[in-house]
Amino acid sequence: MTRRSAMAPIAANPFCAHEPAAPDRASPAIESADHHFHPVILPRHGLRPLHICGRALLHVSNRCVGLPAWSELTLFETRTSGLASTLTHHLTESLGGVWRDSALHANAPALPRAIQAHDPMIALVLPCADLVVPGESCRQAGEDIALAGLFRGAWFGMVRALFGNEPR
Amino acid sequence: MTGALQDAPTHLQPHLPGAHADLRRPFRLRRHGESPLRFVGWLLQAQLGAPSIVVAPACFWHELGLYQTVEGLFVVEIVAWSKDRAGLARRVRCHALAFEALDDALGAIEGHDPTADICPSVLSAAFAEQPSGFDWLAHSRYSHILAMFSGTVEARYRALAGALLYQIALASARAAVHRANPPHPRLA
Repeated sequence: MTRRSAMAPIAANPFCAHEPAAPDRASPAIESADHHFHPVILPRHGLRPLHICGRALLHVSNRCVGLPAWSELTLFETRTSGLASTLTHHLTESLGGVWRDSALHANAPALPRAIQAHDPMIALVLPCADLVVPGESCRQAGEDIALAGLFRGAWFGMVRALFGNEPR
Repeated sequence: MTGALQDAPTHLQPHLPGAHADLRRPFRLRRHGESPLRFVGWLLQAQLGAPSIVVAPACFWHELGLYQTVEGLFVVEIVAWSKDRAGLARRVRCHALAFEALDDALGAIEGHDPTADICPSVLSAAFAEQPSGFDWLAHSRYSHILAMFSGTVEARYRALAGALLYQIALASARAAVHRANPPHPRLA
């Protein structure tokens, strides 16, 4: 029996959605350092995960002291020279826990557009202002709303640092 | 012991912890308005959701499970839990669906509408008094709260389903790598 390394492409995963098949043209990505491409499984929100063969290009995060809710963004180059992105919003338990989603992008210009169009507030479970009664829950709701503002600002700060200050 | 590993689905065999553990057992899954679904098989993956709270007493969450029967059917279990006023957790809706194809089972997890599981008992636990008569303000406030609540339930369920499907895919990929690189006979 022939042994394969753990990083060799494995068989199609029946539990995943797969990226589209490779086009026939030889892409520069395939010519250079083919062995850096690994099978990667990327989680999606409410859907079965994406199964790509790719390599990580960059990983950014706006985690810092004093910010209990932060975001992470990881970009992958796929073997078919497309791009895949994974977004993770780490939120406090009262704001909704961890939110993760991934997407495939056909080309390079589509990526910043998709990231800039992403609204981080869809990941949040905000307290209902109508229901706030004086007391502990009121204090918690106030903290949550203030934190949501910080979180949103930190997200757009990170996006601006990555892709520049383009008009959306 | 009757060789559970030989019977187990091939893509999940290495996922089962060891040849000595016979994890095959009979299951009886509750169904809403139907007799329980009984089968013998394996629990492949389960995921428990976090309670979604918008209004302090309203507490509602989902639980997901994927099973495989010895006949090769895939069973999806979706249970909606709620806490009553006494603070006791109880099942409010139970779904158990059997599929021949794995793709259909995963599609059922993706396509389930979690807000359809919010039944009146959940809401009566949350709201001491329901709006009545011609109090327009109370009605609009109530509908606003309902929209928030169902949005939360939906978001929590989607996150849960995504996590379950991701865990299953990871286990399957790990099993494939394990199959491609079997341990040395002396270590096995």
